[in-house]
Amino acid sequence: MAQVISRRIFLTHTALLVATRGTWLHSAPTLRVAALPSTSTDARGMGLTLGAEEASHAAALFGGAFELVALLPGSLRRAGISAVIGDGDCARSTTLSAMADDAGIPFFNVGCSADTLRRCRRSTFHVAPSDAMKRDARVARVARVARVAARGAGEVVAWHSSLVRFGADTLNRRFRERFGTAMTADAWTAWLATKILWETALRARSADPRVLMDALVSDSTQFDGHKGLPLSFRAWDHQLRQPLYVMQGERATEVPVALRPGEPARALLDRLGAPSCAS
Amino acid sequence: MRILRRACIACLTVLASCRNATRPGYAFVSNEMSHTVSVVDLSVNAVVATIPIVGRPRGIQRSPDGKTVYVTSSDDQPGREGSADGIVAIEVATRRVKTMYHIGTDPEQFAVTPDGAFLYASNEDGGTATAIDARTGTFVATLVVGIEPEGVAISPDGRWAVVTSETSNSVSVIDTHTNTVVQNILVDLRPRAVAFTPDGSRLFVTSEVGGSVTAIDGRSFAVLKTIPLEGGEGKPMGVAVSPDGARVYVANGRTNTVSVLDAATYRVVSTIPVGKRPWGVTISRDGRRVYTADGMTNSISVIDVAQAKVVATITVGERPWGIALVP
Repeated sequence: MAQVISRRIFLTHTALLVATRGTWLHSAPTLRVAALPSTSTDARGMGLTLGAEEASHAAALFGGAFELVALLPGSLRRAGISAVIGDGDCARSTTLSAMADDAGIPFFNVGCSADTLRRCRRSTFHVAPSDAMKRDARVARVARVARVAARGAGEVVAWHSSLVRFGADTLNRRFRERFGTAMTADAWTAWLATKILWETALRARSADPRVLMDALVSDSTQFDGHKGLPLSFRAWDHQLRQPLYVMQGERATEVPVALRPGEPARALLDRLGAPSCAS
Repeated sequence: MRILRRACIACLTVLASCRNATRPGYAFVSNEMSHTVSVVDLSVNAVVATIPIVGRPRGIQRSPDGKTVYVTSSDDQPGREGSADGIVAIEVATRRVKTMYHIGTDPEQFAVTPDGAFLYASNEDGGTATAIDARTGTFVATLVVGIEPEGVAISPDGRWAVVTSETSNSVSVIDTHTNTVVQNILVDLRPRAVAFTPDGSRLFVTSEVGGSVTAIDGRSFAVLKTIPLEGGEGKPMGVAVSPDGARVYVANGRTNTVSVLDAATYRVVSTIPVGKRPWGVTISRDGRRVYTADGMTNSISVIDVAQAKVVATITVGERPWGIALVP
């Protein structure tokens, strides 16, 4: 499990706890999240590590705590686990999705794009974009830009290290400084999963899995993923609404899905991916 | 004779003060892309000087005595401190850079204490805020705040410095007497700028991705209300409060407008179209004019408060970011 907390982060948290002791306005929970074992050098593992470090930093601001622990056999039912984060293996994700439903705790899919996993399970939340979203993004990009159609649109990604706007450059920089390598889409989804879980717990003032699941699909719940628009989960399929990007050579370009006057951002993002559960 | 002389001096003093009160003064505008500060004579609405800055200038503030304008400078290599990273001090009288203070990597925003003695700045990469001596530039304190710190403001009595942090959606409150973080406040998504009311009773924080402004009590630091703006489409950035504390002005970057809020009821009383991507916003001392730095039209908009509309547009440098007014 890639959860080695750096000395700098440890000192930061200690300083925060001392500096703000007893002065929190917002009672904050202790959140324990389990994730599938990974190495500290794979993209998902690095994303989880950075996410856990930043969630711990943010938690310390408010007197709470964030812990990332390894998901072990039987640990889904272990007391104190508030959520589970999966990986890119769709078969494993499908199994975890069913197990999370049985255990009544949220499962975060951070790597499987298969539409078949989007079966509207109560406990499963998809941070990774679905294949349907990627298909729609590609079509939207080709339809809007003739020269792209001529050359063929590149891969559709949830994140890329070439992104700059909306604070993407600062996140890419933090990641590169921490690990010496570029932040990939797999790293971003893992990082965002930890951020979403911590922020939801802080705003709900609870680490109770059922409270978290209700809060995650609340109309008022939204997140910043350094993509410019507020991100949120669709209530019906628990897919994270998010802008996507089409690769053009070495650079990622945001898919130009136009916003109509007076239309909320959610409606725009719902144009990516069929807004219904897979059968 | 002595009485007459005293009367004359008194008259001249009153005239001079009246002239100062009505004279609009100058706007110092930081131009992020052209690496300059434009000096705009607001009596004729024209650029009268352009000051080169070593790096990319963004946050800009004046000293309380109006003799110095400070502006942040960042080099093109964020993540490591370079020679162009720091806060540049410009002498207003000569319009020349007189010194530069190095305060860590990629400085963006800062505030000056009311006595002019200290600057509090956010260090985006370090997750810290730094206090420095405004005369010498020496470090006084480095404080751990939230993740990706950004906006800074100091209460009118100088007691509190507040720092927004974009990634952690937080506002940290620093006691300037002890230079410790005493409180952290959870606000809407991606908080950017912050401004106190003149009496210090409240502060207002813009949230870029949340599309809102949050009102916070200036004593308990409890969140009073989060006010959505522009249907969430605006990307609020700069914020300024009128000298009488009655109105709050928010620059909505994406919708090219300024929202005017009633500070008592938190209702939006008007929405004023300005140039493209207004970022920084400031208000004149008499409260009659509001100025916005319009990043995508390379201009500043001059809003007449009584008419609630733009009465002049002044071309400045490339990608104007912020504005500081001096007498």
